[in-house]
Amino acid sequence: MLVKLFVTVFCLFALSRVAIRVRKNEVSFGEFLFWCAIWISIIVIVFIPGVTDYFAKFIGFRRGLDAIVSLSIVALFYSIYRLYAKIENVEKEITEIVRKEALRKFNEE
Amino acid sequence: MKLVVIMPAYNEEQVIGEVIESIPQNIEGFADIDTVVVDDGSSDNTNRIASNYDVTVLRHNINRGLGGALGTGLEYAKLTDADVAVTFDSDGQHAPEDIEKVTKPIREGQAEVVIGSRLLDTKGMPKSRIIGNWGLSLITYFLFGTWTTDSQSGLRAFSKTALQKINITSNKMEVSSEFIKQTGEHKLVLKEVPIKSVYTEYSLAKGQSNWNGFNIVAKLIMKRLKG
Repeated sequence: MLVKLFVTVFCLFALSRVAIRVRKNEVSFGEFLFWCAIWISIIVIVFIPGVTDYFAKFIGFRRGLDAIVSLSIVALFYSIYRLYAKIENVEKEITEIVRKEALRKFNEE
Repeated sequence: MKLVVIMPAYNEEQVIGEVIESIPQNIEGFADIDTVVVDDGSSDNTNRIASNYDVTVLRHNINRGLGGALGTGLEYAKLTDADVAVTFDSDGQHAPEDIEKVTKPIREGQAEVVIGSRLLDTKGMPKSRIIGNWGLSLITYFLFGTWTTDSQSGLRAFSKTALQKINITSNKMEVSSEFIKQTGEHKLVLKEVPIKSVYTEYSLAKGQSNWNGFNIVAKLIMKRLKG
């Protein structure tokens, strides 16, 4: 029971932070909706855990846990791809700097 | 016409001097031959030895890999207004007289990119290398749609048009396939000429192992995915 209270308070706190940032125009309305959906759905899940099973069945999994684990793996793979792409970019930028330095004499002419 | 011979070099102190000396001073059709050694952050005496010769030495402060070094060499060729640029491995695996062979189709206007293929005549090449090279050429073909018999060859020639269009982004060994990819993308006329490969114990130890091939394939697939 304490968990429910704690999670709810935390989610409401997070929501208030989002609301403040919206007022300061730091996040767009779309982002505001996204974060509202995340935090509100966490509150809903805490109070009605069965909802995850319903959601899982809806997208084709048997249990809520299966859905979470499977989707997490997909998300992890995607983040690895993103990381890989970012590292490649950084590598490319390092090469550009090194190249500029190597060719400085000829670029100045 | 002006020819720039690009020699990417990483820790080649044992052979670099010999290889520089072997570059011909007279090649048919070229009034000006400029050799540029791209020292890719060597930790040995490569730079000092190369500087003793009448060549341009460019220094990478940190090692960037074959692609990084070739990119710098090609950029140099563009900056110095070369008509033709040749890439030439500095480990001594190419025969110097083949430079004339790879530049000829460009001089005669038959091609914009020329690959010196070691696989049109495989004499002297170890079996494992033949298989590995064919494999990578096949994969390059499936991913990028341009066929060459030797996609990993280090001896290539580029026309002025090709120099302007090709923009290398690879840092490592996968650069060889990137040349093929961009040749296809920019619709440059590609030609292959047979070259000799000199496989010494030294060049074999320095070259790519078939294991590294897997690494290249992984990078190429990522390139394909990114478009």
